[in-house]
Amino acid sequence: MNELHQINDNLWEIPKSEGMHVPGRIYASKSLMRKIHQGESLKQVANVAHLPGIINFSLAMPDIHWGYGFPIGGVAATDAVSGVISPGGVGYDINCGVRLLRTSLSADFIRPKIKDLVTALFQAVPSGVGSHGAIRKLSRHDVKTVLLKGAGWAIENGFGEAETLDFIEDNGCLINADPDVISERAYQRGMPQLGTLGSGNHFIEISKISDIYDKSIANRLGLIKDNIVLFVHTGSRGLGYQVCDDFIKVTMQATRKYGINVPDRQLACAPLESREGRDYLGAMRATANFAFANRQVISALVESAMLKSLSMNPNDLGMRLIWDIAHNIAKIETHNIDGKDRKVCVHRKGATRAFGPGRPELPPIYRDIGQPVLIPGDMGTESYLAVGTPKAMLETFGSSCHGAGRVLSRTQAKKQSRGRNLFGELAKAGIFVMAEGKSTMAEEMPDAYKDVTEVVNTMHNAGITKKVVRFTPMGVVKG
Amino acid sequence: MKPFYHEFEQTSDLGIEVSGLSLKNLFENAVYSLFDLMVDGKNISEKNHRKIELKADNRELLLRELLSELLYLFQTKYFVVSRINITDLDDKFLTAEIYGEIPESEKYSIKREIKAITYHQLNISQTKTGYVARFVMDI
Repeated sequence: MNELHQINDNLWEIPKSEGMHVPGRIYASKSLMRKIHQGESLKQVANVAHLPGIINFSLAMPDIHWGYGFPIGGVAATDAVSGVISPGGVGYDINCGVRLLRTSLSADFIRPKIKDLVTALFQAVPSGVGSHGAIRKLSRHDVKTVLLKGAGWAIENGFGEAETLDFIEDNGCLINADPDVISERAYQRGMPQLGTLGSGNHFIEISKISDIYDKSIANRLGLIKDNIVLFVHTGSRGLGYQVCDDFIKVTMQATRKYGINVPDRQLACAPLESREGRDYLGAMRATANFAFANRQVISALVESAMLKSLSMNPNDLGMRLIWDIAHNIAKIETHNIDGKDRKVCVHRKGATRAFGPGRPELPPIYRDIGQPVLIPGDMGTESYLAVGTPKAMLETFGSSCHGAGRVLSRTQAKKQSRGRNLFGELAKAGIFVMAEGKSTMAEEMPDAYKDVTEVVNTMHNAGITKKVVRFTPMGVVKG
Repeated sequence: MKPFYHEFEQTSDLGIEVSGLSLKNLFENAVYSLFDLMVDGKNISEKNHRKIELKADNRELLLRELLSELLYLFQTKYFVVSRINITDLDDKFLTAEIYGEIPESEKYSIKREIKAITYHQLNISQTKTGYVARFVMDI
């Protein structure tokens, strides 16, 4: 890998070297780059540049950290005809993503009730790890329908209202999903898990709107200072992990079969035009639909639990979906490249779509402001909402960061947390947490993550996304 | 039984190094370490018994297949392994008898969810005292 050089305050480049088809480009402030440089993720950015059909740059967002093949925070677009698709560019948790729900309630109203509310949410939404879900176990046929209809299945089955679909990326359903290439094992893992949160870094968070940077956009979104919102962060659960596992095997064979040279076996890939490539794309779309449905079901469970806990009616709660975003996904999109519209496969792994104003994919109500971009911090720290910009379309295939990114390994985090009462520390900061998995708290402690504010500011200063709102946590449910 | 394993540094996930006096012992210890990482269980009985047969292209991939198979059984059937006896093992094929149960919720709690056994740093090597294996799990 060639020496890194700085292009401007927020952008760095790894020049092309042997095997790389394109340079690498990393969005990072100087201080974030000091941390990034200490790990292996830059090498991964260079490795991704070896993928056949990759266009312009192997990109990385400021929350970049090491992943399998692709770094987390990596974005790569390949030609939709002559390029490849790689499961490593999506991740195990296909369509892991976040949704933001606004309410009409103030933080002052919720504060004295936060423990009861978090407890109610903890009980209403199971982690689904070693336990059953809150909704009935689905039949195999049900799962197939979910894989085809996505969030639409949830609406048809009484989990929310139809107008919600306008505020989900791709209306909560990727077309040309192919449930028939999904293994029986994946179906078996998916059947009991719809409506479950999972564990690790998945969460439900009650947050206060603390700062508004763009009043006009915040007003358009119905976000009022000192009111509360909810974040739901989860993905496709065991079904997704199994699909990824299955297709890593398939693409490892395909990489050999089609004579593709990649420097890391975890960059296993298949030509998009091959049967293996088409099968993975179809399976990934179907799995993404499961995740959209999962977040829709969980939102309905959350709303129901809040109405009961607060003895309130839906009008008073005023819960409404602002946006649902995917941050582990690959999409076929049309982008203007060198003056021509071109179909590309955009891999976003730990990165989000951040389309600027004017894109037809956005609902009419957001088309002039740009797509909302949700950037949750880790447990106990702030989160942000931003919007996509025209510069994102020019530089990053309309992509941005997804969160804070880890700096400590889980073992380091556990070591540093020894002797500390993390629940107590967060409570002192006014944050009430309930977590199901015993190891989760230590592994997910705030010190384990980068500073999300610095990550968000980097993308803002680079002109890729525009900050709109900052949220601070009040209560967290972790699986 | 205390599994012979420890965690190694891995930024985003869980890296495990496990040892064994023989290859058979190594594979069995890897299974015990998997369940020790996932589950806090008391007195898990051996009342249910299954036989499994697996194949793969080499011994590392075979180890990954074994761990993935038992992870799948735990995630879909809530089957907790108490004891495993590998009856046949070469570089590409294994058979094993597994003993455990689907415990009542009072008998165990979940420590963490494991999404998958990855290919990253997957390695088995011989040492002076036996064998050591490394694998990384996505959590």
